[in-house]
Amino acid sequence: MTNFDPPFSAPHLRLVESAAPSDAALCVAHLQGDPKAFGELVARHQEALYKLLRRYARNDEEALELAQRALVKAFEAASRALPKLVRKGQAETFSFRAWLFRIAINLKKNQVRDARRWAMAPLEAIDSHHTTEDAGVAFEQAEREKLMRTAVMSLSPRQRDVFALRIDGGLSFAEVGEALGINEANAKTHFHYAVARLRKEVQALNQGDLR
Amino acid sequence: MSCETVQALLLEMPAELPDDTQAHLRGCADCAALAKEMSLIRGLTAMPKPSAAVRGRLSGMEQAVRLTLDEKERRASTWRRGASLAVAAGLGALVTGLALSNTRPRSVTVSAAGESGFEAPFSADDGVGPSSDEELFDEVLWPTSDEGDL
Repeated sequence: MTNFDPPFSAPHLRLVESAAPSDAALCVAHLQGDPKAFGELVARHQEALYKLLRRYARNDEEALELAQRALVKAFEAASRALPKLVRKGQAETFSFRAWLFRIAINLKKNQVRDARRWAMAPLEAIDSHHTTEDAGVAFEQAEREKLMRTAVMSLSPRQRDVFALRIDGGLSFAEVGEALGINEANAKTHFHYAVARLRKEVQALNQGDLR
Repeated sequence: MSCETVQALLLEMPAELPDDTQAHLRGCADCAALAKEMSLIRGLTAMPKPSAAVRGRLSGMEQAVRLTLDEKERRASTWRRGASLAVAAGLGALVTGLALSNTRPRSVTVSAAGESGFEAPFSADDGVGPSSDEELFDEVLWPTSDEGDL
């Protein structure tokens, strides 16, 4: 595991390269006027944010637009909330990614409520970039992926959000809970139900291949 | 490491498996089968990597977000300036109104003026001014009866 934090300080084991600053440290630096901190934060999270939103969006354009709006809102909200957390000494426990994804999920929900713009399974518009020379194999793989993504989108909204945040967003269960306003155990339970359902789908898919 | 522990971890679909779990998988067929199944689910459900066009847009995301934030800040500061000007204008009007109301003639009683630190041009005892309302009244020269009509 690369992100191992030693539980004690050991000066004689000091690393030659300094560790990358945490998201919270970058947020604070941004608020203090460091121009590089902002770019670093965007660069760290934009791809995961895009992938998370792409699962729900009809096309790339919608996903990119929402990603940009989520980032703008996250920075605005962080500039209000972070100084309070810093004063309370809680800035280091602040997860910018969970914060950002929570905003993204809320934006997505608002889109559904306001305009009904989001399709349940916008899978046709997703391009799979297979480089396999065998067109038949590539087509079959694309079909399987399409079926499985449909299965993800047919999960209950909560299970789907938990699954997407975990797999696309790469969040820990604690962060998933933070992003969705539920506790960690609850997030794990939803994830396990989602995985159980998807395992059945995969097994059915494999049985279909055998027939 | 027990199979139960390994399988519980596999079902959580972590992005990376610790070394000791990988070592366990090399020697346990059941856990290896579950790991393969979970890997298949992850592979089939994961979103594809962004295309080159999307990557190009993502690389300009920082600039776009920065511009939007700057524009919002500019609008907010214009609004704040307008609001402070309005407040200043309101306060100015209030002060002007109060000042104008102070210039109106009004009666000042000696006692009230004394309490407020205001020095009256005469006092009741110095014999310069009228000593009472009655004297003040007497000072008004009323026409006598033999002055008759004007």
